[in-house]
Amino acid sequence: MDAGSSVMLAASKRLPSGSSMPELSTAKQAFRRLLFRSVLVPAAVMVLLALVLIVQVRQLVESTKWVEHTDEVISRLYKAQLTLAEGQSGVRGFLLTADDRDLGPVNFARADLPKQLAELRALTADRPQTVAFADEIVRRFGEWDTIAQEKVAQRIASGTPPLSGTGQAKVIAADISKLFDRWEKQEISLRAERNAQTQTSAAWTVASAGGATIIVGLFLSLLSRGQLRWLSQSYERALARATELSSSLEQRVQERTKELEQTNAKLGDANKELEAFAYSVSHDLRAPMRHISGFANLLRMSETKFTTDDLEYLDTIHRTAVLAGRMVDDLLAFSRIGRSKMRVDPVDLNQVVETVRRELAPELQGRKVEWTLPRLDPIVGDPNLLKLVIQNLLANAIKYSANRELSRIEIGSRAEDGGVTYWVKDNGVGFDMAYAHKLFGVFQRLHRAEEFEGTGIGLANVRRIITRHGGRTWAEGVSGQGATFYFHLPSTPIGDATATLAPASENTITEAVR
Amino acid sequence: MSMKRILLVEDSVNDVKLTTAALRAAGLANEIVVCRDGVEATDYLFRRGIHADRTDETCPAVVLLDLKMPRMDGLEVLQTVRADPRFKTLPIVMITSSAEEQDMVRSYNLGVNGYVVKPVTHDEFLKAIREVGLFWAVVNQPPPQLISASSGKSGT
Repeated sequence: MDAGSSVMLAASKRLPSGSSMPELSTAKQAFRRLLFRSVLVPAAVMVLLALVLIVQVRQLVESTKWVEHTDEVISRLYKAQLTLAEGQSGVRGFLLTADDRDLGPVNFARADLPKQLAELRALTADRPQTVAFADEIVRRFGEWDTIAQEKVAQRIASGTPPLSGTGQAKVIAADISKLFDRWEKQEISLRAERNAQTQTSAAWTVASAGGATIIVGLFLSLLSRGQLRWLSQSYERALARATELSSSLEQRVQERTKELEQTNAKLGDANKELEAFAYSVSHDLRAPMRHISGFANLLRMSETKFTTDDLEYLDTIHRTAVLAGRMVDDLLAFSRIGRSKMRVDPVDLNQVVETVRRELAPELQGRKVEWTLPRLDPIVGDPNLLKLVIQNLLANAIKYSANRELSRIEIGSRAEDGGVTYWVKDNGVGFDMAYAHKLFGVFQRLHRAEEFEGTGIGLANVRRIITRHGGRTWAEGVSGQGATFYFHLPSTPIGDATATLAPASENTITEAVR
Repeated sequence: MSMKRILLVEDSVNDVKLTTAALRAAGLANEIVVCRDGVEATDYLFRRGIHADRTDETCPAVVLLDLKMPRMDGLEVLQTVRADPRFKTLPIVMITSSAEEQDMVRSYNLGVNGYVVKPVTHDEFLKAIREVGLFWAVVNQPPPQLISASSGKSGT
């Protein structure tokens, strides 16, 4: 019980440590300790209790054995007395009748009684008094037997029964009987004593078992009460914490959602603003360009006499204004490519190439062009946008190979990297690879405007369209020896949401006609 | 065949001059009436406001309508004019700088007869105006029931 209460003390001492907000790991440890306490401690207490009860019961069994021992001694005493009494009556009978049969019990007593007493002596060897009793009885029996044998012999010799005994044998027998009685009394009182001892021991066993059960029960209920309280407290704390966390999380999510909504709204506004800007640019910026070129042209067409220089100036004004107007148009088209919805359909680029070649036919008048047109791999994408790509690349190939006697233009494709790589190769002026990174930027030119016409937006459009399809563009060239423009399209084009808003960092205002 | 009138609705002075010059260059000697915004254009057609005392009662052969104008833009003019049964069949052609798809779609939905994006180069502009002018003011036969606003009124 002591061990149990000390454990309980230890447990109750440990409990408050759990009341401070524990870290997760310490909470785990605390829970492990709790499990340990609620299983091992009761088990230890029960084992202890069982040990105590075993000791008690063994004591009880022991004292019961002693009672039985005493009973055996008593019964043996009775038996010895009976043996003696039968011996005595045998002698008496023989003396009267001289019947030999009466001597049987006498002989038996003579032989057996000392043996019985020796056994009794051994059984009660722990007590000197009973040993003394046994020795005395054996001695007195010897005396009695001597007298009895004399009388038997006299009877046989005389042939008649004696008239009366001397009485000496009777005295001895009475003494022996008294000795037995005293011994018996001692044994009976001993038995009563041992019985009382057994009863006390049994009462103690029952009492201690009951008491232990009550104490253990109380201890266990107290322990589990404490543990349940601790558990419920920590559960409540955890619950409160979880609620707190989830509410703050919810709050954070709400805040973030609000922020996102605001950002979205701002983006939407910005987009609208941008569209309004593009619209007004399309209308307002184009107009003055048209007016300048228009009036310059009208002036040129008038009856007025102009010098050659004047006419050249007027032409320059006209051409410059037209170019500015085209740049505005191209810029608008460029922004429209980014904003327009993208379709995804299977596209046969062979057909697209044919269509574009037909459209570009006017540019090829008076030119010798050798085309290499193998069958192109099929792909999926926006047909209109991909046509624009082919248009730009073929127009470039035609334009930049114009100064060749024989223009060689090759279109090709090969399946690779989970998609198809297409290319357009020409034997034109080419470009210096050092400036390759500028090729696909808006309004970037690698050649002087008077050498080759164009606003410098074509390749920027190409890159933008290919990027929207989830593909990539690159180019190879040698100055004066031609160029090859590649674009790779994935077999399954990715969504264009990213490309729609992508400001296309690398082609911010870097672009496109090489 | 009398020279049919052309109504030019255009807010930009420069565009008025260029369009007029282009029409003249095309050899179209038609009378050109210029309205500088949508309000004036509808006033002219409905013979009200500053055009309340317009004497001639005929309708123009064609209306060349700009899209973006102060006060009342081209789309509003279209809506107002087409809402009146007398002008259901009046030929109206948009001549505009806007190549925005939404402008085109809305114009056609409101019943425009043509949509011309002003070309950047002057040569192409001259060509476009000549073709529009020749087609609508000379080649095209206007619907016979097309009558002026005032005669429409008197006719009831």
